[in-house]
Amino acid sequence: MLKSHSHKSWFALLVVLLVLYFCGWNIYNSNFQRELELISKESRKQAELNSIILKERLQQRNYELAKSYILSLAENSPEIVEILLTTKNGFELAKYKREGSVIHDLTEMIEIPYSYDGLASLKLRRSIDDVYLSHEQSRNLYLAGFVLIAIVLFLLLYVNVHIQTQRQALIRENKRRKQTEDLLQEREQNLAITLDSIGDAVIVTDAQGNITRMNPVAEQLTGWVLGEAKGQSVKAVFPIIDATTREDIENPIEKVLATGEIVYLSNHTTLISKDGAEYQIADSAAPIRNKDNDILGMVLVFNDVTEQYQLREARRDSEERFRQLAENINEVFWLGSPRWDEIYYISPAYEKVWGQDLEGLYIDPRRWIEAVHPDDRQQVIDEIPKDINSIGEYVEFSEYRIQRPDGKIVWVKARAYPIRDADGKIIRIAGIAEDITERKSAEEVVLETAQRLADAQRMAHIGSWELDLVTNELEWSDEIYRIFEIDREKFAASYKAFLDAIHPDDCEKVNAAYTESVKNKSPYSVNHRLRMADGRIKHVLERCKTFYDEQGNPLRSTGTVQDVTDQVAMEEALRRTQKMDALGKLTGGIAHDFNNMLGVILGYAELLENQIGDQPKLSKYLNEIHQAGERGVKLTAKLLAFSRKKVSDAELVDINLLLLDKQHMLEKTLTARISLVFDLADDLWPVYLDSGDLEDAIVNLSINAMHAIEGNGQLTIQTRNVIFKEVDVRQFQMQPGNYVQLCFNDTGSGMDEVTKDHIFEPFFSTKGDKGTGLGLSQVYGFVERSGGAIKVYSESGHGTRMVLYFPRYQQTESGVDLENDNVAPDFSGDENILVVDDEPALLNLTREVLERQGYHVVCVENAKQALEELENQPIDLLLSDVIMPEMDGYQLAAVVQKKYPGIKIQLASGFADDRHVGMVDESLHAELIHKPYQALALLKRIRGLLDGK
Amino acid sequence: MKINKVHSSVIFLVLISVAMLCRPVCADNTLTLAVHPYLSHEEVEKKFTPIAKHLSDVTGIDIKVRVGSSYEEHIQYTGEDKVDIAYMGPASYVGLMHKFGSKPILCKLEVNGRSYFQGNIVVRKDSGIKTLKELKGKRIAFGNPNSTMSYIVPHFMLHQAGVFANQSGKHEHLQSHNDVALGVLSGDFDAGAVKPEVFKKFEEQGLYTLEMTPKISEHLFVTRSNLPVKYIEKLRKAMFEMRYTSQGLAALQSIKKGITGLVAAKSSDYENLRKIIVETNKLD
Repeated sequence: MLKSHSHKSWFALLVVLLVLYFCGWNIYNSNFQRELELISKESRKQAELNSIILKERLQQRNYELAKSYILSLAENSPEIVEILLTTKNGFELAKYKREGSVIHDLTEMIEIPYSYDGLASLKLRRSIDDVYLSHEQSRNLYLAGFVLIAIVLFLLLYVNVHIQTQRQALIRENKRRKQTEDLLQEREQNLAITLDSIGDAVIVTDAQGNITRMNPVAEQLTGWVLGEAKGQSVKAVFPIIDATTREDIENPIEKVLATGEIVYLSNHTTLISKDGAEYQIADSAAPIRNKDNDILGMVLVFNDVTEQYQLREARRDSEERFRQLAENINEVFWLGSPRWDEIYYISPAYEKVWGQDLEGLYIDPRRWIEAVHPDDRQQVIDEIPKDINSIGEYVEFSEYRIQRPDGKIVWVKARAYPIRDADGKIIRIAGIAEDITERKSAEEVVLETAQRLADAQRMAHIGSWELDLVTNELEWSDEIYRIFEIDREKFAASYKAFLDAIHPDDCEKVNAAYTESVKNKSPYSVNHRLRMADGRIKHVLERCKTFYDEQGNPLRSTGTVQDVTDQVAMEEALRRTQKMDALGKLTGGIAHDFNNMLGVILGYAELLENQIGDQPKLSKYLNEIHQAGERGVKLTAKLLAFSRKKVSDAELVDINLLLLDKQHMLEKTLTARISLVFDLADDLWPVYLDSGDLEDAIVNLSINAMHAIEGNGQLTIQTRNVIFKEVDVRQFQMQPGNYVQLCFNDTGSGMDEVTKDHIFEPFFSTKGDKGTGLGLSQVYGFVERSGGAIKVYSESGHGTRMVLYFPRYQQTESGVDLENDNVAPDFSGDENILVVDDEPALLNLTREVLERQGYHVVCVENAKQALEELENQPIDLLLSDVIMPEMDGYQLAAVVQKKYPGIKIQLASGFADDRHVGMVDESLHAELIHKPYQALALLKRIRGLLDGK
Repeated sequence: MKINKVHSSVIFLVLISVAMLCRPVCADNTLTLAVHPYLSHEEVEKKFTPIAKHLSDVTGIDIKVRVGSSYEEHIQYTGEDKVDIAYMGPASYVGLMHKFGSKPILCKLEVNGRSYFQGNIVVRKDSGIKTLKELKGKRIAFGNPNSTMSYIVPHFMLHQAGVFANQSGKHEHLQSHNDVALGVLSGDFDAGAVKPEVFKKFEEQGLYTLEMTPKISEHLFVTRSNLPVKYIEKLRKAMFEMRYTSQGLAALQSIKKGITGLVAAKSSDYENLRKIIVETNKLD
């Protein structure tokens, strides 16, 4: 009733106030509108007046004056904020805008027609902020008065309403107290029920620590019933000790009541019940406060955690054992997240191996990778699984290096294992990293030693082997495989396989030597031959020693195999030289004695001629004797020429000049069917020799060529300056130095190997009655006498190339030949070169020359093998002989050019044979290198080809 | 004897008069520097007094500024050697030469490093007009009819381009170069002739140069025909050296901002203008 009355009063007041407000506001607003209208009219008039002045100036084309008038107008009329005079085309002839902001303005627009087609527009904007300001001030005054009246009315009404409200509040308070008392009673009952329902034990005390309440769980654990315990000290009912030390623990009651704080007991608290039973408990004690914060008592809540305690203790022991293990092992052990982006644990060994602190790794789990050697880092990163589900049983990292901050390099071997939950999902990654630096060092030493041994074996051409006599397993070094020319991948190493590689004629000898050695327990050495797959023969020296157990049973044999093929070849060459020397001595001795006898015969024949006088018949006989004697003299001269006992009339000779001098004579001798070609070097070095002997040699060799050519053919005589280095000594068996080379290349029938072996022997002839067999032996003697050498390259059906070398004549010791100095040009390389030659000795020599310069050399003996090799491995350059059985060099080159256009080709030949030259580029034929080629010339040509020069 | 005295007196008076006419140099060694009234008398005097004073200080010859009442009087007095030194514009100089023959030239102005000037024949940028020929029949605004760059030269060029053929088109003379520019921009005129400074001033508002006038030599100083050579040389030397002293430069820039010196000039420098004026006069 009272409330309704109050509301009506407030409403009436509000209505009165609103009526007052709107009436006053209407009166005020109508005044303001009238004032604005007056200002607008005034502004219009001002604009019109100005437009008349501007019109006059524009009619006179006084644009500047019009402009200055506007500026003057603006300066003298502070209320004007903007003037704009625009012509009909939109050009702003004059413009003025006062600085500052205007909230309320009045704009007048007037058009000014100042000529037939001239039309300007004047915009005049003035500020009416001052009018509004005045308006606002009046309005504020009005509002202030209105508010004052409203406040007075409000206060009067408020006092009246407040008295009524106080009365109402008193009635409500009495009612509320009654309701509160009922509520407290109900809560007490609920609390008792709640305590009894709680699963934890609860004890409540008063401010002195005497028990006031206990729930059934507390009764069970303490062994006390509430009736007995009520009023007892909580210390008596709730005795507790430390489970580890068995010492009494301070009862929380004292601390809670003293400090008023909540107290939690330690994890090792044991409650001893009234009947002596022990319980591990977890509990807390909290003060009970009233609304003034005074402590009224304490509530102690605890429960039986005996089982959890035992489990926790067991886990703690386990963790301690794991920690001790992890922290004392040398390996780095770690646990991390499956995404490798978090480290859960890492053992202290990390600091020792990585040289980094553990804390840094916990902060930045990828930091361990930064220490990985830059050469290994990417590989390690790549090996970290990107997809965690792709991890199998474990991840094994390649061995990698750690670059520690102190500069030390540590080798590490690491593995990572996924740890899965019951569902098989990977929940973490465990890993272990082992420092294997010592092992790696040892491995490197072993590898280095093995490499040195292999190098030594390769250089000495000595290989080593070991035969396990128990398992019959045979182990060969790399060099043995090279000597036997067997592929390690294909060879089943055994004693039988070894015997199979031995020449059949020597097999028994070797087997007997080994068997005897094992039996007699004495080392043996034996020379024997090997028969290569292509039929070539190699000579080896084999040494062996066998080891025995304590009972004398043979356990293993170790031995060496030395390739002595070159040595045997040199011995053979020496033997041949010695044979020729012996023949020379013999021939010389006979010729000498025979010459003496001829001297006697011819001398006496001459005496008889004087005595016979005019007896024609006897004179005829005597003449026959004389002629026979003269023939004998010539024969002995030839024999002496071979035996190098001829007196030499050496002189300085330019071979080119001598050849040109004899060209006409040679052409006549060779007849029209043989074409004579001179290929003479510029600036040929001079030589010191008997020019007469040289002429004889040239004629002899030319005639031999003519006899070798059936039908039409060609003889090419070539001269060159050549330099022999140390590397050429073995091939040419000549001292290093500068030489002049004189070559006779013919396109004749060529010679077989047997013929080649005997051509320089006196009286050896292939011409039957046509020859004396002394021509080439005479040439041989002359070349030997001149300090030079002669080489023959020939093959049946393919022509012959006879090459004579004469030492360069150097007048003074100080003469320096720039080409002969010891500055070795660098022609080395590491490209793959395939060498094809049917002459094994030359093949081996070429291999050695090229391998010394770092090239990877593959040697084959015919074109078919060459094509097979090309199928199997990348080759950069093909070096091929021209004259070969089945498929010659040109044919091979044609196939290679077509099938492998990227491969460079170098052909080599000992004599001119151009049957298939049309099959390949002319350049290949033009760039053909002539046998015997010098190592330097060969290397220079090969390097040039590979470099594209 | 009496006659002789009268004769003698007359002869003396005549001689004095001739001497007075022929030698405007005051008896107290003062030279007059005559300037045409291109501004009010006070403003012209104010502008030229510093140079007169500077030349007086340097040469030791007293120099006073006098301002003519009109352009015609200025040319007349200069032509009749009634003033010692005269400052004049190129068109006035050509008129002077035409009427009185050549006078010794002391020097000419160098403004911003150039001793010549040009005018701009302008249109509105949005007018679409690209050649002078397109102005045929259009409205053209010029400045003062005596102005070299605002009327004489551009009018001649437009005439040459056939703009005024057959009495087509119309043109008006406005008060100033600024008015010409504003007249064109406001659309009252299709084209106009202004000096480069004015063009620069209104270029951003949409003015576009259709064509530049030929180069015309700058304003110059001349002397009367009979000024002694030693005076002329002294004056020339002093005038040429003005650019090298701060006082000299200040005196020059009092005449017009932007003057950077005085340089030698010869009557042939104004030959191109003379030809234009002669051709223009034929039109009239």
